[in-house]
Amino acid sequence: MSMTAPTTNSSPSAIAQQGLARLPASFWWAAAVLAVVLTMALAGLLMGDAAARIDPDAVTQPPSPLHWLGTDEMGRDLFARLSVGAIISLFIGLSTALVAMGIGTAYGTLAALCHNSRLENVDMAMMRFIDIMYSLPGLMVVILFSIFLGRSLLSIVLALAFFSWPDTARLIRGQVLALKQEAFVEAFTSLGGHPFRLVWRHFIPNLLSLMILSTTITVPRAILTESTLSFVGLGVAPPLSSWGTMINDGWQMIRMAPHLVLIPSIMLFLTMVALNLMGEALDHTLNPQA
Amino acid sequence: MRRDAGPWVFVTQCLHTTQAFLLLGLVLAPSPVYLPPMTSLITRHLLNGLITLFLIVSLTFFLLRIMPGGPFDQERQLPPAIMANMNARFGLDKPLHEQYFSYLAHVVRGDLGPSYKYMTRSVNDIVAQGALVSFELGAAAVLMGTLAGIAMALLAAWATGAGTRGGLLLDGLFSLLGVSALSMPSFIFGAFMVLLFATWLNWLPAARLETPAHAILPVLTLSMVPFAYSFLLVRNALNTISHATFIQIKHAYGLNPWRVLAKHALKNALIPLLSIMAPLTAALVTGSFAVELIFAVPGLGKHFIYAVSNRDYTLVIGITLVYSVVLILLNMATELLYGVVNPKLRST
Repeated sequence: MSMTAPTTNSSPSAIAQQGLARLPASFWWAAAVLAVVLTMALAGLLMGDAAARIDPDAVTQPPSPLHWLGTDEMGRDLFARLSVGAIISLFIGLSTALVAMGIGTAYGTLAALCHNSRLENVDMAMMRFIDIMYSLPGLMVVILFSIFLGRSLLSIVLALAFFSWPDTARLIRGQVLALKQEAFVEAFTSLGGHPFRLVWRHFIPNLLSLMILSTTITVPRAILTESTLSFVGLGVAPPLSSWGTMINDGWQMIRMAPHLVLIPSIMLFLTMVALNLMGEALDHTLNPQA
Repeated sequence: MRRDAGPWVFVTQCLHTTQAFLLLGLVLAPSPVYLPPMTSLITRHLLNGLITLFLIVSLTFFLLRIMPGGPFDQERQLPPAIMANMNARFGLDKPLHEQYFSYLAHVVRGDLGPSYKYMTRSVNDIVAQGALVSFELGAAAVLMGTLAGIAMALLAAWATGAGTRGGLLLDGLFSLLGVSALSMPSFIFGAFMVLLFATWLNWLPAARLETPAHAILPVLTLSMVPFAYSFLLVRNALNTISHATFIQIKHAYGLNPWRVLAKHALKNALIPLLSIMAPLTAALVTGSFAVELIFAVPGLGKHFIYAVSNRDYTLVIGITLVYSVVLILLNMATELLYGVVNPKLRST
């Protein structure tokens, strides 16, 4: 970038356009893939019970004009099942990330506020707790928690979020510690500003890019963990079926109908690649110095 | 047992256990928080580790007991007399807090108790056998994956440094491979490997762990995660370091670019790799669950899944405990190694 600052107009939309232009091409590829997945999920929402409809005359068929991606061993349409699976994967990924971001941001900010104050011990204890969280064997406790809470979608989200927030909390704490050094914070406190207002008006807007970044890291990780759980049969419970469940179902008859494994696998893989690429692209754009 | 007892009995039991639990927590928890700063890193880590292990045993114990279902539930209900006998034999008829403390006492002595499903085998026995298999495969996978990742990162950095069109293409290709490996759930990769090498080409055995040839596919599958992590990290680190003055000077002297890369830049680029050793192993655990299931490997992951489905309480806690110990030791080793490679960190 040249030193002569951009002389063009600096209206919000112009700034947004400059930001978009800085995004690498991989971002748009990823966005395209995710748009397809999103469309499938929307289609799944509109489909009603098409994913559960059994057609005894069309069992384990390869792709055809009637069943675009073929049918499974019970004659259910694979495209419909994939679409419904997309809803589940996206829901679990997004809501886990949101919950984890909320807990992590609150926890990290609180710890950072306690740092170097009368409540120094609180910060230390909070960080020690995160250390302990890191030495728990995550997946095992996620399995135990989600079964304990009843193996519903919500319980899986809670169990996954419970193990995702420490990463966010650490990042946020570091950033808030850096923010606390800034002159504007000193100015605000010496003018007698309330800490809550400080957090809400000054810290949160400054933490937004970090919060978005941590979300883009958590979403694919949650989707990956959920699909692994479903694949080993400990994920979403039977009436629902995610992509992981479908791959597991297909795995039982991989010799006769490999497309039952291949198609959901490719779907899941492409979604994961897209999410990871998108996270990386956002990281480069929001965090150019790193 | 507790499900036949009235709700009040259960509530008072819970209260007893919570009390005892809180007391123990109060005794143990504050000690590391208020330790004098002079205490060495190792003591702090060991203490932390012990607390973590205690928490894990307690957490797992109570989570499992409060879950519906017991180890002797079957499709066909056992006669109540037999059920009572079974429960009595394993001490499951005693109050919950008594069970908890007697279990803790055994665990402290290194006895993980009997397995409820494999009646004749102890949990120590099962875990020892499973751990041997899992850790062997895991270690081979980490070693192979990391070495391959570093080698490819060097190649990519060298190609980028050459600056030719082909070089940039190679770097882009490798990066795509790295991101793909990172995004590929290990069970999908495993399924593809079985489909390709066992079903279609018929070159390698598909499942079970009988000969060294049987280990090839599982190890390859498990090595994807360490490969992706180490490749991406080392490649990025090499790219950053290549702009550093000391590297630019070496280039200005006219040293062989490959030598500069492999001898001087790599040494610094390996440091970030240290920080992911522990999370890497954790990720490997995630993979190993599905991979052991796909390849029918009798390791800890497969045992864990069956144990959870069967409510084999002691086996679940035993396996969780073993993995926690490994994680804690790895975390400790990572921090100590940091001190070795970066003396600045030793004083803190």
